[in-house]
Amino acid sequence: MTKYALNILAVLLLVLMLAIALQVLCSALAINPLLEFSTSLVLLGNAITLNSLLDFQWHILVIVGLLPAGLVWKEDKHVRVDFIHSNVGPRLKNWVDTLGNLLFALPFFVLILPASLDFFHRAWLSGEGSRNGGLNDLWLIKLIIPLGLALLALAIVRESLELLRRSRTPGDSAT
Amino acid sequence: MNEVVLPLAMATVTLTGILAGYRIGMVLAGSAALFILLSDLPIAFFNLMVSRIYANVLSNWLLVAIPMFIFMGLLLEISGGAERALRAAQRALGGSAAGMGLSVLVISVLLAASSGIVGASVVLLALLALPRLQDAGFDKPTSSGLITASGTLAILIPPSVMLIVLSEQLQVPVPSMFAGALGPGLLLVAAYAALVTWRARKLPALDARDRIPVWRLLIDLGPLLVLVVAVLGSIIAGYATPTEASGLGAAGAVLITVLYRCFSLSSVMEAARRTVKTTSMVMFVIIGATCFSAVFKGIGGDDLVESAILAFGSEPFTVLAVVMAAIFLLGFVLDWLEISLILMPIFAPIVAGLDFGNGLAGESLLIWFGILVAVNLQTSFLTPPFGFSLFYLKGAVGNQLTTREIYRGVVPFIALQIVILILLITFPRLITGLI
Repeated sequence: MTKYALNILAVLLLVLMLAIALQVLCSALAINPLLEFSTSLVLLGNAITLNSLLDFQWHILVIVGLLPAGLVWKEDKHVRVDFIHSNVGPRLKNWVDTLGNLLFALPFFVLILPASLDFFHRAWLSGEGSRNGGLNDLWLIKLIIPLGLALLALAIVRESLELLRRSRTPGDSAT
Repeated sequence: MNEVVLPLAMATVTLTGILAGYRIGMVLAGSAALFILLSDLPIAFFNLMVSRIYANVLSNWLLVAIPMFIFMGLLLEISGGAERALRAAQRALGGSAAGMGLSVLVISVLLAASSGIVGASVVLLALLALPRLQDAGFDKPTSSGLITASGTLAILIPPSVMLIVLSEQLQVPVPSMFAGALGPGLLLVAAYAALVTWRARKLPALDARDRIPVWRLLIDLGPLLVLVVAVLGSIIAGYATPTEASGLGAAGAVLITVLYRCFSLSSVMEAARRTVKTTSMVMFVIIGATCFSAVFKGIGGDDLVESAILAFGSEPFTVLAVVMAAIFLLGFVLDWLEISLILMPIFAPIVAGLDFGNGLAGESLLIWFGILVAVNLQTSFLTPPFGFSLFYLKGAVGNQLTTREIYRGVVPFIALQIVILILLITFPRLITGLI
């Protein structure tokens, strides 16, 4: 499951590369807009313009940057300073992670999850669109913020339960 | 009273969390949340924070360049393109010990320009170049010093990701920052080259089997050279924005793997997957640091740091010395990313208001300062016992080198770094001349 998700994001990254190349090409040849529609479409509005391509690029960055945060957490790839951490036993490491999850992660999510949902909700209510003929329906990309953070929170809850389980079975603390 | 206690407590909690080895991004984000709850800042401050993260980080088109440059470097490493370039350089230049040393330097400059990732460069050079340097007769300390120092060039030589983040924080144009880094980068390369040549003066010539002429090397390295010059040149000359150049550069890197006959879909996908993970990690640290900076400033931390720095004296060069010393020491514990994101917003306004009597003001002053910070950080990463690059090297070579050999080898390179840092402070034109 996570493998598929990661592959999709990897493909999105390659799409980002092609989108930049396409944008450079079209602005060099002064092709703008690229496509026009007779009706207004979701996200795209009435036309695909150079500004749509520019917006599309940072939209992908938001997706690629936020959605895998939980996955990266699960694989323990979020950067740590490890010159003390790598020299202590597994018990102490478990304590650092447990305390960290309680002291840092918990208050962060308590504040940011409602705040980011509210941020999405306001864009949804106002039907916020692009100010420069770029991509419309900004609530779509703003939804990625609470979504990515929720996935991260889920990964942390899971880790906390695992840490709790390990602390109850002392002989198992090495794994 | 609270203006002193709260920021001090926040700094202490944050530093403790980081040193204990908890994930840095979450330490930063979490202490921001914690101290909103503890201070009299309204909870609604966090709503403001989300808008701020969205406006400054997520919808920032410039940051799109970061995953593209990371991908470019990773692809060259994973596909074997970088390895091929290094082997070609060794076959062309390896006729003498000095040539073998220079081949490492040449390739690491090209790699530095195409990847900008310190860990990757140091590990790659350690695996591929260390045995050859020792065959050529270099002692262990010299070979390991050369590898760590030239691998660490990656953060300084444009288009480095660090320079992009730094110019974002200093609010100066990225192309000017890149142009400013060129002179110091080349100066460092020249100094390293001189040191290696001098160390090799008594070493015997190597046997001539398996040699290729130097012109063959130019053809071999041609594609890589063209890519680096095109990406960097188009940014500095203003033909392309950093984001445009990064996207084309990434596409160019794919093309190079085709030319080098090491293209495979699986290596492209592997590079893309690793880029996704690294990007997510970097983005989360940026988000955490954004939260941290806003709250730290909100509870008066900036003023506290400023008065602490000015306590040493308000003479411009004293302030600069204190700031640089602080960055150097923090470089032992924090990576360039956290330092640029947390310290630059505090230090930059302090330095921006100073008159160093060298004719620099406004943007050129900030670029000068930014490059000094970059060279300073690079020196910090080389300095025992905590330098990051030394850990990367030790990790890559295992027991082939003792920690003592690694430390001894890097000392002359650190000396060169310091000499050049002093030159850059004394003669700002070395930085601003190309802008």
